[in-house]
Amino acid sequence: MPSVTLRYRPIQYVEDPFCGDTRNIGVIAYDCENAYFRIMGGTDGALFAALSKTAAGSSWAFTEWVEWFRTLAGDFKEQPESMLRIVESLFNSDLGIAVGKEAEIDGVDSDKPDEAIEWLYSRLVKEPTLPRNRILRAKIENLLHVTEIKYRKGFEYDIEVEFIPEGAPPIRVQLPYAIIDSPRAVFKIVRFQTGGAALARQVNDAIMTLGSVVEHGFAEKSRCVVLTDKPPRGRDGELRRLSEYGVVIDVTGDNTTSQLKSIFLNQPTA
Amino acid sequence: MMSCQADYNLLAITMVPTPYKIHHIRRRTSTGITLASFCTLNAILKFDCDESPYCVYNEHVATKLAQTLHLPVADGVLTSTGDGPAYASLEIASPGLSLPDLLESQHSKAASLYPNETAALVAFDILIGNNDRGRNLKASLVTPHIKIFKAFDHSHCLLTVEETPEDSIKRLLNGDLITTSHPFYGHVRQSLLDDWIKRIAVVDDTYINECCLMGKQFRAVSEDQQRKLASALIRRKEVLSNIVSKNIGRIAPCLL
Repeated sequence: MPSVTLRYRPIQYVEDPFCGDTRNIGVIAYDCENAYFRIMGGTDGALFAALSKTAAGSSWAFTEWVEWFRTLAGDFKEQPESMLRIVESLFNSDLGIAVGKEAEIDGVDSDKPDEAIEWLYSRLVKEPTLPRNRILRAKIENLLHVTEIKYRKGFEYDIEVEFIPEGAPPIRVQLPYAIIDSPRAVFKIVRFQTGGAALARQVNDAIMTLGSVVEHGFAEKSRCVVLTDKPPRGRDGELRRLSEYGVVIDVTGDNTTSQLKSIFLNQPTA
Repeated sequence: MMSCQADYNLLAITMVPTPYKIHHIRRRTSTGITLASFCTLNAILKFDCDESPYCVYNEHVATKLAQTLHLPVADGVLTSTGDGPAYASLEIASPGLSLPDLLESQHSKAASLYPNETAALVAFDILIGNNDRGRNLKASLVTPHIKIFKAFDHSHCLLTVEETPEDSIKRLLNGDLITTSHPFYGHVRQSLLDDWIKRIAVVDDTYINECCLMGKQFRAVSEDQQRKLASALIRRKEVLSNIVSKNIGRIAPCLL
């Protein structure tokens, strides 16, 4: 199997250029013909946002950089010299994104450069460790950003809705997200990666909430969304129960964005 | 005149607020009911140098012209350093990250996302004889709810089209295209470019004079040179349409 030498540079996030506070967030590598890159979270800015409060406020700009690196790597084949000059210009840059010194890695299987990139990434980048519930929240926040749902007219965080049935005590439900302008939509979060009792509580709360929402005409069932992490084996029962009350979306899945967008196709934007 | 008025009424750009990078928010001001605070914004400071001896004047005039014409150019201000006036171009960014300069292969996408701004910029760069637009552009391309399209760096136009200000003014006056290459040649829409050329042509000469004249010598730029530049730009805006027509092959606008 032929082997090649890859040159590479770490991609760095420089939060405060005055302090020289630098953190590796990815790697760009190149041989004579191609360039490859791997960056924290890819187009999902959630992991980057978890780095710090400042990073969280810049996650949209981070996704612009991801697109920029993707384009740069794509252009490499046609204009390698020009691309290398552009990469070099990021060395010690004060744009917030920089590259580190160039180094080499030998003996890379020419058919499997991706494996070498993954290995480099694992050596150079330490992804932020977050509690599982924060990872799910971060993924959901990013999804709502990418699908632009959080910028829609009437989108609200953490709301409480009270229904007052005739002759019965009021029912209050809590919603982490909702679109309160017509046509309304509501969201619940269920985290499957948790203990059995906690999961049962979440599922029951989601069922009671969505049931009330539909029963009292606040939103249609097709616009009740349950956002979850990846359900482990043996949780089909819970999934089935939830899907009787709303649309269940595993936010760790591949086509989450299109799934969520399809629900809101005709929703007016802000 | 009436038809021009009607044309550029249709052209109104939605003025999207551009985020400029705040470096530091300090204490509140002691007076006022609006709870205003002092703050510092990040900026790129530019000076006159051998490579561009009229850089500060050029940057200042280009920004004033762009603001007068409502063109997508980064804002900036004159400031003072030990060496005299300098130009501070405000940095476009989120709080922690600046945007990258556009790559050549992103120009087509930028032109399709920002057709009106693209046409405005092409017309403006031809007006000021800017042959150095290159990658001096920032735009958001994958964040639909944040619209940013801003050009920056005007150190190689106006008085630095040629080696000397006199030759530069002569070149601006004689109706050359000057801008022989531009990131949006081949991408700009013909109809929008025509609209912007009309819009620029009808701008009152007084505004052009006010953008160029400082009322005194400014660094190496004499009052006479400022007056001559203003006259050249006034003439150039009037013949802008001819300049574009004569060079339509190079500009290669899309027929949309």
